[in-house]
Amino acid sequence: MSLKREQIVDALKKIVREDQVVTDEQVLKESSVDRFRRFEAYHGVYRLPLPAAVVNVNSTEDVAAVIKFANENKINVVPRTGHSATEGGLETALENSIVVDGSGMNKIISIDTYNMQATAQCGASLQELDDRLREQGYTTGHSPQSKPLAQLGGLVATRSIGQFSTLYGGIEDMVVGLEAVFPDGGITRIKNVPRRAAGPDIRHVIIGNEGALCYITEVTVKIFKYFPENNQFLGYTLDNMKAGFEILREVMVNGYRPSVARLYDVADGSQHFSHFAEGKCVLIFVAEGVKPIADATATAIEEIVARYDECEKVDPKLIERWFAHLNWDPANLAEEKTEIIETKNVCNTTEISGNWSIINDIYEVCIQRVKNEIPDLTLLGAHSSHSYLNGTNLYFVYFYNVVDCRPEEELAKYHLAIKKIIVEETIKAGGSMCHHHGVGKHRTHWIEKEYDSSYYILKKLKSAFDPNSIMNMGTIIPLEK
Amino acid sequence: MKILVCFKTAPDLEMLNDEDWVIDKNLQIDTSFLKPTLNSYDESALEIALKLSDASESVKVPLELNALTIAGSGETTILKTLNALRFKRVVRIDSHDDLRFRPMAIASILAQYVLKHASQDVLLLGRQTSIGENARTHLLVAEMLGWPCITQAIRIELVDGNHVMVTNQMDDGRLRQRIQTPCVLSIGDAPNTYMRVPTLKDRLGYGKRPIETLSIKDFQLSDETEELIDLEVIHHKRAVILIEGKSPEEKARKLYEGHLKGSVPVQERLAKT
Amino acid sequence: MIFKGILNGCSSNVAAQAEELNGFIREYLSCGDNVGSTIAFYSKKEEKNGLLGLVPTESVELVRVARYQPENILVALRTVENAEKTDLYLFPSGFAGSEIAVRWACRMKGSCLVRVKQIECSGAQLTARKTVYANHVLGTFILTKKPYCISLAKGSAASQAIPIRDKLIVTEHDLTDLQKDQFIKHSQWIPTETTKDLEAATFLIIGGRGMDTKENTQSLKKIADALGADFGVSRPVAMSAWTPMHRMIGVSGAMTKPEVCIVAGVSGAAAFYAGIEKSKTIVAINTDIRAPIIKASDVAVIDDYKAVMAELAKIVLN
Repeated sequence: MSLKREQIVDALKKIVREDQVVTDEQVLKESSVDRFRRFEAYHGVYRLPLPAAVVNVNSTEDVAAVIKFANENKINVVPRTGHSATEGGLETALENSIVVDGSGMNKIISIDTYNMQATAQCGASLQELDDRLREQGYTTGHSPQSKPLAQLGGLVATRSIGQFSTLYGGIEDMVVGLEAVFPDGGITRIKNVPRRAAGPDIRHVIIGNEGALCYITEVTVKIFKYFPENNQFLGYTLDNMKAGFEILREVMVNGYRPSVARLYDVADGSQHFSHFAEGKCVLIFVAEGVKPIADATATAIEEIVARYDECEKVDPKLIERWFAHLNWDPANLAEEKTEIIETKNVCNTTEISGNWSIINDIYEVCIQRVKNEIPDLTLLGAHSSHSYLNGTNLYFVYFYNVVDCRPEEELAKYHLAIKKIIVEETIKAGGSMCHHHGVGKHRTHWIEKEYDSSYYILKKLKSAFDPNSIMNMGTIIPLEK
Repeated sequence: MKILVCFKTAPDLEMLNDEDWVIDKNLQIDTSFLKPTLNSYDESALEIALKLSDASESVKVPLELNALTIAGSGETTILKTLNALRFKRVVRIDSHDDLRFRPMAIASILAQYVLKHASQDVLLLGRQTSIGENARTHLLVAEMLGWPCITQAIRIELVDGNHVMVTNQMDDGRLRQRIQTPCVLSIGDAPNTYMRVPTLKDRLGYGKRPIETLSIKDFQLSDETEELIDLEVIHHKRAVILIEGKSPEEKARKLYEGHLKGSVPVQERLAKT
Repeated sequence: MIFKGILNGCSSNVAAQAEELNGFIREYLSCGDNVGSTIAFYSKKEEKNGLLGLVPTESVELVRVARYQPENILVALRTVENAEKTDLYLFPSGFAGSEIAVRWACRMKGSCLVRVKQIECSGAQLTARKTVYANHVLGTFILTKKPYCISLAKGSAASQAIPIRDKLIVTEHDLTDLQKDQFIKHSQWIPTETTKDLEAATFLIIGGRGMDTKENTQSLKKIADALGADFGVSRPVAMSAWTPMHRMIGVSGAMTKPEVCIVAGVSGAAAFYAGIEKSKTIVAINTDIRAPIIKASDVAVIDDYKAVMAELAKIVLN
């Protein structure tokens, strides 16, 4: 017999302090969604089941107690920290869920500059941690666009990646040790060691689990020495993406690690660089680190690019300044809301990855198909922002006017229709449909195709760790129909 | 009815950090690395013009929307956007001059454009740009053309081929007036006037139409009657005391005890309870 | 220098205009070489006597017009000033003052600056300062051609009450039959609230875009009302029409000088900040420690304003 809402709330108030249990209606509405549904949410439309409560947890013990209770009573739990997710990962797919908000667990526990590690609770702000490190000459090296808002728990749970990943890696390369709570209430701690071969790397059960297996309560990340004075900014304009991908590949396969290597197509570029790159693709590199390495990296990139006649150099200051203002901040987001409501023009994204040999084809076919099949587009473009030895990502960016369409119809008519094209073409070509935002709840439809025979491993993880099906149901693995 | 919206692009000055506010020996501040955006009052003017165009059919007043800017060759994205939004003529008067504080020059160019190049019935301008803050151009154009000028317009409606209904803000109220054209209208703080976004289809279609380019050398510029001699950055800094606390309630209590309780207005309020 | 102060008696804020003009004259034109008088426009008979108590100079020309209508006012001014050799005209702050100043200067082929904060008359020329670059920069200009026509910036000099005079030289003009407004076919006056109350407020609570919705805006206003504070908003809030325009704080709205100013959910653009920079104590509440307002406030709380304000209201009211 499942508990009623009031019973859930009453029980929660006995597990944690009463004031930690929030049932305000507006808070519940906003807690049923994340940025994926922002168009309808901005219009006051909330279609998903309201959670029974939002619990603001203060400690790992709080988390354990709440999740144990949920597990015993088969109540869906949505783990949350910064609330900046973009793929529906924070949506409440089931009735009477409990949203467990860890943003109050915001302590930076330790900064160890000898072992080059920093430990913080799941609700610690990445911006705050990085600012604190930078004061001492260090950095996490992690800088996603959501940095001013995002917190460590969510950043690890989604396998996030930042703007400087080409040098520092994604979050999976930065995590040293972890603490997490599993559905049975058990608290698991993975210690901080540089490397080990003591069985499979179990951190990877937790990193990227999107709250579908456990609740991350504490994270230790590597820290890096930071030498911003050595940063070198390079920018070029060129005519087509194909040449751009080739240049990126050259840089990567020859072993150079700029912190930033980005390629913008004309349309996406026009949003950012029209004052110096009208009608052109744009290539951006940042070389950083100790001076000899930063300089050598910059020199090497200049030599590589010089071999391509179509590339024209851009004043580095323009790149440097653009970069300094790339991240979201609360004022920007508040402005976005007003603009969206007034202009009915929305921006959304879908990010994928693929090997070098397929990436340009994926780019071309997706742009072509979306342009032809989707109405009311006002901008459609893409950029590559994370490159590897064997390939790169593509971040498709699209704006559309919401025309003749109620707020609740917007996703189906536009965003999901576009996502379907991009996901299907990418998987068909052999790429991955999710580069760094996580599967969330809206790419689950294709998860079996994404994994093929290896889906077995994913499914077993879910059934092993979450036998009662309470952890963020509908995420990564679709709900059973 | 022919409506000409005269607009300017400007960088978003709030994007500049404290260190960027540096005045060079030519009394210039480098904002070249910032992407130009539409000056906010001009954006309102453009959207208001588009709203008039929306209404044109139902009111049976045929409308021709034109747009004009005086700018260098660098930034054409906004011009293409206006083309895509179906402005009939989009004009750029090429200039690399420093026109920040030259409203007389700009007004004389606009007046000559209207008199010699393309007559108009209504001129719409934003009340001022963020950089120059001159707030004079629209009035000077009106004087040069001998046209009436209504400032702080926040709403415009079409009446017929020769009349518009203009609502404008005054210091202590609003006026709603039916005005005979030609006239100059300057746009003030008009709510809900973010400019709409053209579709890709319109960009590919209308957006590819040519942009009319003239040169500033084709015009006689009036002399300014003021001269800029100095610029000084204004710093707003106070000794911030950050209130710490475990909860917003605790911070509120500390705020009250430490800083508000003893203040005159709060004492007055307490006296009333 | 011979100067004339202009008062728009057709506007209900003429008393504030007069005090502002008086303060400006005392601050910048009080040396013996400067001789000034006032020209005051009005439309209703009953306004005339009130005007006589608002003259900051020893003489005044009272000019009756049908109503405030710029094209007529300009011709009226020309009629009154026909043979005069005025060097400097001071127009009131606000919309009317600025628009007349510009057009008058154009007709008189003189120099013009609007929203002037300070002037300096040294010898042959007039130097004036006003804000530029969205209130981030102060620009200094030389006005090269007489008559110099300037409109005052709000709060440019401390307003000063008009002293009671036993002798005032008054000249009257009736120019109610001017007809330069034939292009106006129909006119409807809609009185609205003014920024007067906000500008006189000693306790101000201001909400910005961080309030997120019209409902939250109304909730914060309720708290302001309960605390006995006046309520203002930043420009984005007014532009979303979550409150009427007269609550807008900033260079194109109210320029305030309260004892205590609590600013919630406002990022703090310079053009907004100008509207509160004369506050004695500025308290900023914002979730973003990097918002520009934080560095420019006396006390800051980095947290959700709703919870902080709710608690503050509870403390004060109990």
